Amino acid sequence: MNKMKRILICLSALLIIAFAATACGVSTGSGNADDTQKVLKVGVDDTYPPMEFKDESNATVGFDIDVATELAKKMGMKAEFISNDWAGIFLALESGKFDVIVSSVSRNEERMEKYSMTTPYIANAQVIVVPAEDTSIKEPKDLAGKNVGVQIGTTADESCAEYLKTTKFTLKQYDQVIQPFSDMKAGRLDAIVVDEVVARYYVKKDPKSYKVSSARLTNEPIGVCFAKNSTELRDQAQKALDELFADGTMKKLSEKWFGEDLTGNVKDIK
Amino acid sequence: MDLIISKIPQLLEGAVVTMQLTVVAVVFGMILGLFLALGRLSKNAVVDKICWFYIWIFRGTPLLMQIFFFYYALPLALGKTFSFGAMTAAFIALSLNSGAYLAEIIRAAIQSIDKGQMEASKALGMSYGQAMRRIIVPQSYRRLIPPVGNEVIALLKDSALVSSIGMSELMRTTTQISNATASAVIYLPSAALYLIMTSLFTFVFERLEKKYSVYE
Repeated sequence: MNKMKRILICLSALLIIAFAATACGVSTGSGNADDTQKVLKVGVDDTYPPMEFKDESNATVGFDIDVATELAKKMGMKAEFISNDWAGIFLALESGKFDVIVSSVSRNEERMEKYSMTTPYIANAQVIVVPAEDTSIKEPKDLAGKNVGVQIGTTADESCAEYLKTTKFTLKQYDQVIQPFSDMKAGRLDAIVVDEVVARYYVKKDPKSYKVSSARLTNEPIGVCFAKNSTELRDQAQKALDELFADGTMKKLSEKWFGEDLTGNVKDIK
Repeated sequence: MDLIISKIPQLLEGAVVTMQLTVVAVVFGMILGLFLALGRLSKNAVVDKICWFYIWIFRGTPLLMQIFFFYYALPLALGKTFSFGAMTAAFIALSLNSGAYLAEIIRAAIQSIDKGQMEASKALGMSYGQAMRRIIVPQSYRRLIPPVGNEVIALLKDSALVSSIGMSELMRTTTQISNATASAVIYLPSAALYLIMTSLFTFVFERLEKKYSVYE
């Protein structure tokens, strides 16, 4: 029994040391970054292609990632990306897990009031995705009586809730943006309301199953989202964003990710 | 198939994080659980009540809620000094939670040792602490092994809940791949990895049980 006790003590000691070592490793890592350059901590839900997602080599990539990297560069800082589930991303911003969210945050009234947002940097329509063979949904009012899927807490979710007041349909909310697509493939869903850029990405992956219908719900601009009290950082970011528009970087990034310039007309939407 | 093979390294990275979470939570949970169990058996009514209260809270509320509490709510309530990273918040929540369950397992194992053992130890002139350390707790080891094995496996699977605070353990890694590739097939190798990890623990606990049964 003494032997077992000794083994147990040794094992736990080892584990505690290993734990402490990893903890130290993490803190020195960020400490070094602080020495050379100020870090802008950027919150992203990296499960949202092509805006923010993991590529083949497990690196965080996407349109928003490039925008945030360029923004930080203009602000004389270095962007560090922190992964967070969409469902808690605003809570995490408020509790100081990161400085800013650059993760396809649509500018709606409620968010503009609660947070400090920049002007929009990309236009974003809410489109309706339907099964490839569907011909019944051509405009939003055709949703009546259908099973409609959205990702929970997104502006697509909100606009559907708003639309539910006048039209009767069944709204199904999912945690992940891919889940309504899987559900549609399984035959349980007639329509998905989702950001246009994301819709195009998934439809391109599987055009036999889905298509983007001609129906559009709203046209929403996406902005960079700061906590209410970080106005100074927001003003810096706003200035940097204006510069990115002026020097053509935004146009270049949009063409890189979407094959066309979706940033040119954002000023008109506002 | 190509997709699965090309994603294996990414999945393995996630599995390592899941393993770290499980091992840390079990080790700290065991230490905490032992003290809580001894507290519950203590003659001091205040100590007993405090330990009872702790177990009541952590066993009686959902683990997901506890994870959210340590990650989101604590810094909002107490200020940014309590704003832990996802890793730390996950370690704290899982350890404190498993501590509550393990405490009840340890208490049951200790109480299953015949009363006569304690009486005999006292008759030999041992104090309560000596009797616990030398006679009662060592005898409870064998009875601990099966339920602790259960708890470890349950914990390993429960660690998937921390994907909700953005930690890229196996579950969130799988979701990330599934979302980026628009394909659900990646859940198969991911499930296999979970199965391999739980099998590993099953094997270890079976060996331990065999080893410590020789005393009875």
